[in-house]
Amino acid sequence: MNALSRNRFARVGVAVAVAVAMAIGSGAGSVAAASIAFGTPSASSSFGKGVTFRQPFSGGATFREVDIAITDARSFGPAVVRIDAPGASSFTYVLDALTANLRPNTQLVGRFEVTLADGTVEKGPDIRVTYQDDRFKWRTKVGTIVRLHWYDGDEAFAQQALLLGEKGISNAATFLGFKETAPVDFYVYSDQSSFYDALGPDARDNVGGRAIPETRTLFALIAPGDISYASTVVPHELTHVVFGDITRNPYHQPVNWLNEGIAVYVSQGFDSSDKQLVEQAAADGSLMPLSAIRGMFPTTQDRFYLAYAESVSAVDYFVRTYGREDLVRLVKAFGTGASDDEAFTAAIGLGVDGFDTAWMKVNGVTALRSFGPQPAPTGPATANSKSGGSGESSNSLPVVPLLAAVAVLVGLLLVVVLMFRRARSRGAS
Amino acid sequence: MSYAWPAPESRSRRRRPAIVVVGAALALALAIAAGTYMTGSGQLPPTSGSGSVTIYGPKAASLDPAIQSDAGSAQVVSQLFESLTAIDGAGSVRPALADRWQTTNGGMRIEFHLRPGLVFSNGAKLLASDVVSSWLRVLKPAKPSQLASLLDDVVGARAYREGTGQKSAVGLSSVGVDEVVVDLATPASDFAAIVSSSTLAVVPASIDTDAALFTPRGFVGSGAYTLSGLSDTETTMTANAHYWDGSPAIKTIHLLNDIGGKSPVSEFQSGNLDYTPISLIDASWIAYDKTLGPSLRVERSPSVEFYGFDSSKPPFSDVHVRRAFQMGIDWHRMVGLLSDPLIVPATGMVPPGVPGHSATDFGPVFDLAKAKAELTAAGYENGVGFPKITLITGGAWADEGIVRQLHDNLGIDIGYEALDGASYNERLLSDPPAFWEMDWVADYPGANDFLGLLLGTGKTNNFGRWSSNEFDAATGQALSAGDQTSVQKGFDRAQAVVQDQAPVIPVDYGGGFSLASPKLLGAVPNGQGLVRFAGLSWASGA
Repeated sequence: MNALSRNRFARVGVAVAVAVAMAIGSGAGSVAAASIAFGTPSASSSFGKGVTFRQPFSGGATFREVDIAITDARSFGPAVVRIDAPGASSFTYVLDALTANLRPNTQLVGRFEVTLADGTVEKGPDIRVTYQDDRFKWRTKVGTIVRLHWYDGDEAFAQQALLLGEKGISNAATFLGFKETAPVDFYVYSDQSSFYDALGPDARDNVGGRAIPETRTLFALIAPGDISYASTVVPHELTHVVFGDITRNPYHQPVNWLNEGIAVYVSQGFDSSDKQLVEQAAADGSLMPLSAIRGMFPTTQDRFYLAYAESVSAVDYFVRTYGREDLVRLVKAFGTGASDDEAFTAAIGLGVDGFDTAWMKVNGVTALRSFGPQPAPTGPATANSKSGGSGESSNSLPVVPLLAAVAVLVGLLLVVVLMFRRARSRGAS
Repeated sequence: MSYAWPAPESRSRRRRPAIVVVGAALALALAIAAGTYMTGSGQLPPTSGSGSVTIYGPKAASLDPAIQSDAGSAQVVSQLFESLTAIDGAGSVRPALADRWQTTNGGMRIEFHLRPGLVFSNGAKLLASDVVSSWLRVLKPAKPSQLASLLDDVVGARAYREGTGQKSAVGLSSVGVDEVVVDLATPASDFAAIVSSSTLAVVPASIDTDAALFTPRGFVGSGAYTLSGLSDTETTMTANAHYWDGSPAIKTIHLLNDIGGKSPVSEFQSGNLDYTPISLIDASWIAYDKTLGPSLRVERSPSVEFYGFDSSKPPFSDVHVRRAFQMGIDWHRMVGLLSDPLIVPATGMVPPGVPGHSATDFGPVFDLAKAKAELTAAGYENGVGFPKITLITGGAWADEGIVRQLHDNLGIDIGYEALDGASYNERLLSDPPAFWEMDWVADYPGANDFLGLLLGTGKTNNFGRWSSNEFDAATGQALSAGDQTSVQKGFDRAQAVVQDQAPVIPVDYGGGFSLASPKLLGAVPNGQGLVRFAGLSWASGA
């Protein structure tokens, strides 16, 4: 059987999400004619609901199939969805926000494609639309690279945040030896509920900022006046954008601890609280190897913070031991499609596991205890184990019960014989 | 991918102990109110005599055994409908509705004997004639099952499904109420295993005339569970009191098909899930988490991911082009770059753990010089003049890398599209793309499920329409061989042909991780990669 439902790769994109997206028609039926003329299309975005694409048409045709191809900056190539009930005068398709994992500022390009009865494919015009958070009246302040969008707080607050952004991206680019030119959109939310709604239901707890390098967008939770928090979260998230630009390749993503570690290192350094967390974890045996945080960070609060602390600790160790230039070499290697091992080896002559071991050793840890995976406990006799045997050619009785039955019969026979002999001997006497 | 950063310290980052205590107390109160409790080993889902298990998994595309064809559907269908045999956790064939079977006539006939007193979930008798009618539905000429080729070894089956033979000529018959006789065109040593496929599960004879049979209200099945609820977000199953093996230990299964986009790890931690698949990117940290680590499971999957070509049309009707794609892309390196310990480069079409998996490496070999020579032999030196083709898949991880390598290595630029799952499946069957991808999970633990079924001439799942007499002969020899050495030799020969002719390119063998409550027993995928819910139970004291 095919494994349509098997999802191996955590790819945020339309390709997977559209599998369950909703196709609707604006009416039933098809029109018999030889050709189709596409009218002026439109698209609308509604936060929390999704994006609606509309394509009027005339001239009529007998359609064999109608599809919409949607290109999303977050995924490779267009995702194509069949429209099950094309209308008589227009095609309509709703890309559901939840199933398509849409985040504000996601740029989409839709295009309806009609396969006519003779197999000819007619393609409509591109329909460009950006999924927006329309709950607020956004104001925008434009800098050299950063475009700041905010809805709460005064001009002075926005100016401060913009400056932090400009400085942050400049610092990150300088640190990583890269030059940024394309704009980055930076959305500031002032309350946690609205912020989490923007990030979507899969947001980890305790998150205060998020970057989506593919759409060059970052979101941050900054209350007006809380500029001290902004001074860390803004450069942190912008560093991810720079890191993403340098390391983008068609094969894999670099280890996450490196990405997060550099972001923390650039935005606030390896500070005392992170040092304390790592030291404590090393002392009580709860330190995770870096390989444990190569992907998502933990959902549990303590481990979540420890993951960040370990990440910046590792980057700090890297820079102290090998220098910033080797770190830049390492990061750039990922952009060529190098494996984790190849990138580390090219930069420092040591594979990623070797670096992991060295970092742990510096922290006084030589062995770590893992708690899983564990074998699944088997149940009691299950439907197909307690029936016994393979079933093949099982006309013969099972051997053990047969032997037992024979033994019982022999025993009974002996008893009967003995009783009979005893009765006979009694009778004889 | 997106990258997060903790919230401001003043709000939630590194909460002070007092807040943690209050939070924990609140969580405990909420957990108790919700029927859950916490122990020293961490949060546990509802256990105490609840008799229910909550699982996260895909919704079935179809509940009809004869229509469903994907792993997600099979997971559901196999709970609702039973076949004559089943596969256990070790991959062995076990009796199910049939308590025994015997092969006669030199391997050309198999007689299945049903257990006495079998009934459907509504109490109606389940007879041998129901088995025959269920299997004939799979072959229905108007619209045969996508997996109808599972029965191709049965006399007259293929002709019937192709519309060239009569139903009465199909070698399926019932003798009395409890014997099913199968006459085979060629000896099929794996037929008892084939029968375990959810496609061949037994359904009531009225299934095509009573639409209510697939609804919770009117459901009638032969499996361990009945369908008691079906919505966009949940499939609910209730223990079948009439199940041949007695009512299962777990009374209710809540199969959540949609958790609102939330992380399954978070939902498991919250006690909202007892069992859920998770990805490596979470499994790697969970392994070192004292609370969640003991719940982490590795799930080997009897599956292979492969790319294929439409061999019936240019340019891929030319074996030189297929070989150029096979050798011009570094498939193994791409798999390695995933750094996933459970996803390993394929060494052939038959995955490990499946009988017939070979010790010989039949996987693709990256050889750019040979690839370029093959491309030149096909008339497309350095990719010049290569026709415009499009790689169409369901959105697979390797797609972007393939497009890049074809450009960089061979000078070939191709188009790319990702289709949604259902459309993609239909497209493969009706109008296969020039270049496509498939992830195939065992219908039954047998090599031919990955060879003859996918590449045999005229088979329903031979998406690329490739045909090779040599390959067909090799699989035929394997299936009719009397000893294991000859069986393996036949399948190895078939794989060698595939490696040489490159109708498909096996890329990787799969596997995955899951989180399961430590007190949930029996959550072990079988030789088909399916968990039989009938085997689940809570540990005593849970």
